[in-house]
Amino acid sequence: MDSETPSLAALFEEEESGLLRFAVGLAGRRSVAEELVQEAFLRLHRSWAEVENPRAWLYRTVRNLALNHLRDHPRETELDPEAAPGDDRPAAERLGRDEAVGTVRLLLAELPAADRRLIHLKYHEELQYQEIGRRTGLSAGNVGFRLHHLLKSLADGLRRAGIEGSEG
Amino acid sequence: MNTANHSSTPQRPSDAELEERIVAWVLGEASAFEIETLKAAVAARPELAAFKRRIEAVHGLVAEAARPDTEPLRLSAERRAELLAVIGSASAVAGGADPGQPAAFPNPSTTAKPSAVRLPRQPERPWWRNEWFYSAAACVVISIGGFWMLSTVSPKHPQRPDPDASYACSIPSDVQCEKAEEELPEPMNTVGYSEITTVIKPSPPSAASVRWSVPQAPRATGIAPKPSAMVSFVDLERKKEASSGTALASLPKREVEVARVRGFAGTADDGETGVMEPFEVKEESKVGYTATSTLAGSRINTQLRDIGSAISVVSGGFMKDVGATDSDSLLEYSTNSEAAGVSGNYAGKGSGRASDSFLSKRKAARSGSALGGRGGAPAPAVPSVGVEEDEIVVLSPFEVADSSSSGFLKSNRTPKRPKRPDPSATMYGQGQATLDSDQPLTSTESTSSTPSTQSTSSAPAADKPLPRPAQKPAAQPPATDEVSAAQQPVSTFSLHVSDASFKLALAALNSGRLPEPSAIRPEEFYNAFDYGDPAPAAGEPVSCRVEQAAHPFAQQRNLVRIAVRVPATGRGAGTPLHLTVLLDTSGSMERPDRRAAVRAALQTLVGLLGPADRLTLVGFARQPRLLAEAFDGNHANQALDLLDRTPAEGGTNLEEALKLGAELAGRHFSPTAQNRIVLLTDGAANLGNADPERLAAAVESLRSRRIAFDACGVGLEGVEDEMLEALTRKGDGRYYVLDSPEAADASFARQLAGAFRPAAENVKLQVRFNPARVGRYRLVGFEKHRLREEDFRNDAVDAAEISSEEAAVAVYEIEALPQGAGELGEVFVRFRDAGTKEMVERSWTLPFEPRAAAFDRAAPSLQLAGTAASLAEKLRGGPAGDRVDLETLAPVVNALRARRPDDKRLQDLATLFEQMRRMKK
Repeated sequence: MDSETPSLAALFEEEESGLLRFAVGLAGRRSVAEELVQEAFLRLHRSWAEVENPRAWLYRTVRNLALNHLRDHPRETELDPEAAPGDDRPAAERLGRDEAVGTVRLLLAELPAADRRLIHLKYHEELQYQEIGRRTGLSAGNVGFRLHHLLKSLADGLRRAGIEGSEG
Repeated sequence: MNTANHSSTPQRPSDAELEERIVAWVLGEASAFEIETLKAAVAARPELAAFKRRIEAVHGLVAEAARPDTEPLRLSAERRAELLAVIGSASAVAGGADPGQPAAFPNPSTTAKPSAVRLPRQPERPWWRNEWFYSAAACVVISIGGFWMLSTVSPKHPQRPDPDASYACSIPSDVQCEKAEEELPEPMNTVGYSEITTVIKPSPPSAASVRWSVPQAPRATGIAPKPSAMVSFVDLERKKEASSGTALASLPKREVEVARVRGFAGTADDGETGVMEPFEVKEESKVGYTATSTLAGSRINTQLRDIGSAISVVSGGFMKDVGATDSDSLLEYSTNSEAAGVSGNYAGKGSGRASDSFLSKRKAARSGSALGGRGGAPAPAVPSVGVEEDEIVVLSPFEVADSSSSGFLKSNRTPKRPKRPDPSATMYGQGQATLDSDQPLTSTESTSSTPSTQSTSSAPAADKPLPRPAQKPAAQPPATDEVSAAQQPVSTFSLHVSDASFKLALAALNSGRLPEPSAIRPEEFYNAFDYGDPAPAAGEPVSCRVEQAAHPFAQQRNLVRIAVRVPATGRGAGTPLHLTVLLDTSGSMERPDRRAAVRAALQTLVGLLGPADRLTLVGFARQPRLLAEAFDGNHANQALDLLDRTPAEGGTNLEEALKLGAELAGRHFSPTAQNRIVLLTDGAANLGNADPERLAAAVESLRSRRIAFDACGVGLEGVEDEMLEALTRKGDGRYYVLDSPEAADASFARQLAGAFRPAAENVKLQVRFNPARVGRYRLVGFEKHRLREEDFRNDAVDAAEISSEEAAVAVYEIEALPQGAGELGEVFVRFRDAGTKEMVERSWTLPFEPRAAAFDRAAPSLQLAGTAASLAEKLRGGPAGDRVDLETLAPVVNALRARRPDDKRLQDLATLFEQMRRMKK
C-alpha cells in the first residue's frame, strides 16, 4: 500500500468539510462545531509526531470533544441548522444523519488499509465483485466474504457508538 | 460462485452464507433468481429481515460517506486564518496528498505509515484509560504488597496497629482502584475474603464489610479511613527492607496473597503490629470467623434447640381465626411476648383492635345460632378479616389432627405453595382453609388457650406477608409468568411511567403496614429513579440504552434494562395551555395536611402558567361548583383566593365532577392549545357512581376529544390508588402522588411542567425476541399496559406519554440460550413526536452477551433497577417475590446509597428496604 503521510495542511483541506459536518451533527450548532474542529486540528498539530492514523484520530477527537461539550452544556440546540440546498429532510434527521456519516468515516479511517481499499473500490469507484477481485488479486467470492464482514463490523461499530435506527 | 453455490447446495444454506448473499444483494451483486430466493428467506425469518435492514442502513451510510461533498462546509474566515497560521508552518512531514482529491473519503492511498518511532496503537486515548497501565500497576502492587505483608507482620504488640497496615496507596491507586472495581474478580463480600490478611485492630468482622467504594464516597459501611496514615509505596518499600527477616517465620501457613483494599488505615503512631486471625473461610467448623459448631455457635448457625427461650409458632389457620392483621395483635396470643405493655396481653392496650374484633366476632358467632349448625352450612368463601357484626364467622375446626399439614398443630410445613393463591383465601398463598371437618367449634376459652399448645408446630407463616385490613375482599395480585419465546416472540406494551406505586408503598411501610400487593406495580418502582441515561444526540428524537447482567435470584436468567429517553424540548412558546382543575373539596380533604398540600400544589401549578394560558377551577364535593372560569395566567392567583373561601363539605361525587370538567374543558377547547384536566383528590369517592371502569370510560372519551387527563392523589393514606391508576391509564395523562406540602416542590413542579409539555405521545415499546437465542422471558411489570402485537403500529390504539427530558425504563428477565444463534432480539419504540406531530419509530438491537456480569458487579444503574424490581416483586408476593432474598440485596443497596448520598430517591429506596427487612423478620 501507499505509505505517504499527508501534511497537516493537506489533511485540513481534505477533511475540513467532513469533520465539520460530523461536528455539526454531533453538537447541533455551527459555531460550536467550528470551535471543535479547530481545536481538533490544533491538538493534532501538537501531537503530530505520535499519531499514526491522523484521519481517524481527527474524527475521534472531534467526537470526544463534542461529547464533552454536550455533557457540559446539555441544553443548547440551534433552532434551525442550515441545510444544504436540495436536502429537504427535517432538521432533526439531517443532524442525526450527519453524525452517523461522520461516525462511519471514523470507523472507516480506522480500518486496515486493505479493507479500506475494498470499500473504496466498491463505493467510490462502484465496481462489481469481479472487477474488484481482479484489481486486488482476490477471488470474487472472497471479495464478497470480506465485504460482508466489513459491513457487519461497521454495523456493530455503529451500534456500539450508539447510532442505530430502523425506518420501520 | 454465485450460481455455483446454489446448484451445489440444494439443501438449506447455512446462516452465514445466507447473510453473505444478503449483503451481496444489498450491494447489487445478486442475480435476479437469487434475489427471489433471498426474498423468500427474508420473509420467512424475521431475524434475517432485521439483518438486511441493518446492512442496508450501513450501506447507505457508507455510500454517503464515500460521496464527495457537493457543498463542502468551511470554517469561518477568521478561524481558518488562525488555524492555517499554526498548522501551515508544520507541513514539513514528508509526502503530501493531492489536495484535489475528493475531500470526503479517507483515501487509502494516503494512509499514514507507521514510522519507526510510532507504536502501533489504537485511537488516541488518554493515558489514564489505557488498560496496559492498569495491568502493569496491578502487577507492581501485588508483588510489592506480597513482599511487604510477609515482612511486616510481627506479633510484637497485638494492640497497636501498624501504620503500614494501611493499604491505602498514593495517587496512582485512586485510578487503579476505580479500574479494579470493574475488573477484580470478586467483590468483598464473597469467598474472595479468604485471600486477605488483615492486620488492623478495630472490629474484625468489619473486614467482611469492606466495600469497593468509589473513591469519593468510601463510607457507606466498613472502616472509616484515617487520612493521617496514608502510606505511599515508598514507605512500604522501606519497611519491607527493614523488617524482612522476622515475620516470615511467624507466618507459617497463612495465605498472604493480598488484594488491594482501599480505605483501610491504621493509626500513625508507633508502628506496632496487632495481629489478628486471618479472615479465612475454612472448612473447619470450630475455628475461625465462620465457625459453625462452637459452643457459642455462630450468628448464622445456631440451632433452635440451643436457644433458651420459648418459641411460639403460628400457623395460618390460627392467624385467620383470631383475626390477627399485624404483629401486635398476633403476639397477644403467643407466649413469651408482651405486646400490650406491662399490663399484659389482654389488658386491651396495644393494638387492641384485633382482640376487639375477635371478641365481637365470637359474640356474633354465638348469638347467631349457626355455631352449632356449622356443619350444615356450606363452606363458603372464607370471610375476610374485617367482617361486619352480623356475619357468621367460620373458623377452621379446632381439631387435634394427626395429619401434619392442616389444623392448628401442624407439624409439617407445607412446602408447596399454590401458584395462584386460592381466590377465596384472604391470606396470600395460604389456602389452608380446612372446612371439611365437622367438629364443632368449642368455646372462647378453649380457643384462646390454644396459643399455649402451639409451640411445636412449624412456622409456615413466618415469611408470608400479613394481610392488610380490607373492607372488601383483597384483590389478587396479577400473576405474570414467563412466556416462551418460541410461542410468543413479541412483547408489546404501552410505556406508561409513573412513580405513584413506589411512593405509596414507601408511605405504607413507614407507617408500619405492608402495602397491599395488588397496588404494587413494579414498573412504577423502577421508574421512580433517574438512571442518568444519556440524552439523545442533537436532533435525534429518542435514545435508547440497554444493559444486561445475570439475574440476582433467578437461575439462568439475565436481567435486561431497556431505557428510552427523549430530549429536552423547550416549552413551545406557541402552545398555550388550557387547564381545567378539578379540586376535591369534600370533608375527607379537610385534614390540614391535605389542604396545605393541595394549596401548595395549586400554587406550583399556577406558577407555571403564562399569560396565554387559561385556568378553570372547579371545586367539587357533593356537587361540583365552578369557582373560576378561564382566568388567564396572570390572574390565576385570584383563583386560588377563591379556593380559600370555599368550605370543605360533604361527600365526594367524582362522576359529576368529571362531567362538569369535561364540559368546561370542551367549552374552552382550542385545537392549537394543550387542553388538560387535572384532578386533585384523595379519590375516596363515595357519592355518585364510583365504579372505576365507568369513570375510566369517561376519561377515555376525553382522550378521544384530545383532552388529556392527569390525576394527582393527595395524601398517602387512604388514597384510592386503584381508582386513580385506572383513570389515568385510559387517558392521555399521568398519575402523581402528593403526600405533603413539601412534596409539592421543585420536582413536582418539574413533573407537572414536563407533563404539560409532553415530548412523545402514544409511546409504545415492542420487543421482538429471537427464538433461536431466547428460551423464556418475562416482562417485569406493565401488567395493565400490555398491548397486542398488531396494536403497535395501529396509531388509533392509545398509549402513554413521555414528557420532555424524561426517560422510561422497562425491565425484562430473559433466558439466553448459550447454544443459540444471533442476538437476543430487537427493541422497537414508536411514538408521536409532540413537536412535529409525526410518528417516529426507531429500533435497537438487544445484544447477546455470553458472559453477562454478575449482578453485584453490574453497572449501578442496572443494579438499581434490579433492586427496585426485586423489592416490588417481594412486596407483591408470588413466586417471583418469594425467591428474592433481602440479605443478598443489602450490600447492593448500601453501595447505591453511598454513591449518591444526596439523592433523595435513593435514600427512599434504602428506607423502603430497611422497612421491608424489619417487617420480614
